[in-house]
Amino acid sequence: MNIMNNSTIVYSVVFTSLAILLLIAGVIITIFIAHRQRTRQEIALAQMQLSYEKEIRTVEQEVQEQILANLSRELHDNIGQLLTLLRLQMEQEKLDMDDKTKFDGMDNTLETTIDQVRMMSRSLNSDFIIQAGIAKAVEIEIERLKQINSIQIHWEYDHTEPVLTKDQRLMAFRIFQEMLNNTLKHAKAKNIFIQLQGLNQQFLLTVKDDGIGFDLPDKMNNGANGLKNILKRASLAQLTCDIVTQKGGGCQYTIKNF
Amino acid sequence: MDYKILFLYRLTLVILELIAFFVALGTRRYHNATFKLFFYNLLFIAILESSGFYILYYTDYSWLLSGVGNIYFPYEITLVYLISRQALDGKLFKTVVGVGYLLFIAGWLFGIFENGFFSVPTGTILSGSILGTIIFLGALIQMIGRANITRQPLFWISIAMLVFYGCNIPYFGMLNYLASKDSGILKQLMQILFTTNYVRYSLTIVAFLLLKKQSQLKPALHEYHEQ
Repeated sequence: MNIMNNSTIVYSVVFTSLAILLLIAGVIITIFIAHRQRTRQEIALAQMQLSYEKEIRTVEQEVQEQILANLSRELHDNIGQLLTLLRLQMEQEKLDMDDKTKFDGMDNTLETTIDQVRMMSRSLNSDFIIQAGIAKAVEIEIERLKQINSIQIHWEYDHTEPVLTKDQRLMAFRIFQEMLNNTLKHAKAKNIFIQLQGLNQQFLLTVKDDGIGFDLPDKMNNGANGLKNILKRASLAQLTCDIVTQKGGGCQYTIKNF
Repeated sequence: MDYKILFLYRLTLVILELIAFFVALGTRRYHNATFKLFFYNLLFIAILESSGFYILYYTDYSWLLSGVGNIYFPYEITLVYLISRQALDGKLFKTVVGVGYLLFIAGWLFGIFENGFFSVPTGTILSGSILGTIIFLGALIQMIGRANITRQPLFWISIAMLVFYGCNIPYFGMLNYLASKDSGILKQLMQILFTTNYVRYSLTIVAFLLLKKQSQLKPALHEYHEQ
């Protein structure tokens, strides 16, 4: 039987241990490479999903804008014209009557209706929002809401039209409408404070209310499509949207480009 | 190997094990189920190694230590098996590890029955090391794709255990042969055991510190996401 000498034994054990160590190092390096590849794949997949989702949202937005534009045109060209015709007919009727004050109440209501239709038509019309600018569009929307709601709306504006792209302008306005809609529907607020700033190319639009507030994480985890839409739309237009709220503490929405 | 150098090697190992134990103790509130098991292992090791060191150098009962492998390895491999049940996925993997563990226990009991308690259980140590290598290799492979792999405490502790079990397989496999042939070679080769142990406990300390850091980060991230 061949018996190994001492140094052979020592070298054999040491070299085997080193070989195993190298093998372990190789395994760890392989794991690292595989990990990096999988992470890259996951990132690529996530980016693809994101761009797909973005594409879908863009198409959705375009379709929605088209529907709103059609509605706006209908309101302006059809309903608006009919209301103007009605006013002309009433004027004609008034000429033939002795008591010219008889139609005063109806006249006022008709005037308000025509104003409302015009303002609604504008607020739905994306071309108007893009051309007139976000400040004007927000102002008209506030005016419209003041006429139909009892909530006190406090409007503050630094008289500097924010520098935004067409898409950002439109998206910011639609988000603003969604914010207001949420506040009017759910907040039970007495006051809404709206602030718009555009100084130093920094756009900041804040909608704050003194309503009942809500538990944001809870809402985000249980539906709340409106809120999710606000955040998704903002990210689509490369705007930042923050929602700060707590139960009983009102709610503050902020949308900005910085 | 020189008696004094061996003493220093052993002393360094005991100190490192105690540091690892105290770091684990200090981060105890952050332990999850897996790291609780690692902590119990460190506790046992700290007690066993310190008392072993004392018995070897300051008493006349050093013969007691020949049976230490019959206590240490079954305890550690049982914990490692439980860790694999806790932290690892895969039915096939769990079955293989389960069968391996049963064979290990059977081999251990057979070894005691055959050679008595106060003997070097080469088979038990070797089979335990192979099982440990498989488990921690599996753990590392299963971590592929997880976020921030290098910041995962389990990653570092798996490397630590893999280096310890893997690199000692040749040494453990020749324990009985070398002990019967020439205890001088055994002492020379103990450097492998010491080096891998140093790596093991250093990385264990890193893993426990990372566990603390990770647990402290989690609430902050949670708050950030909530906003």
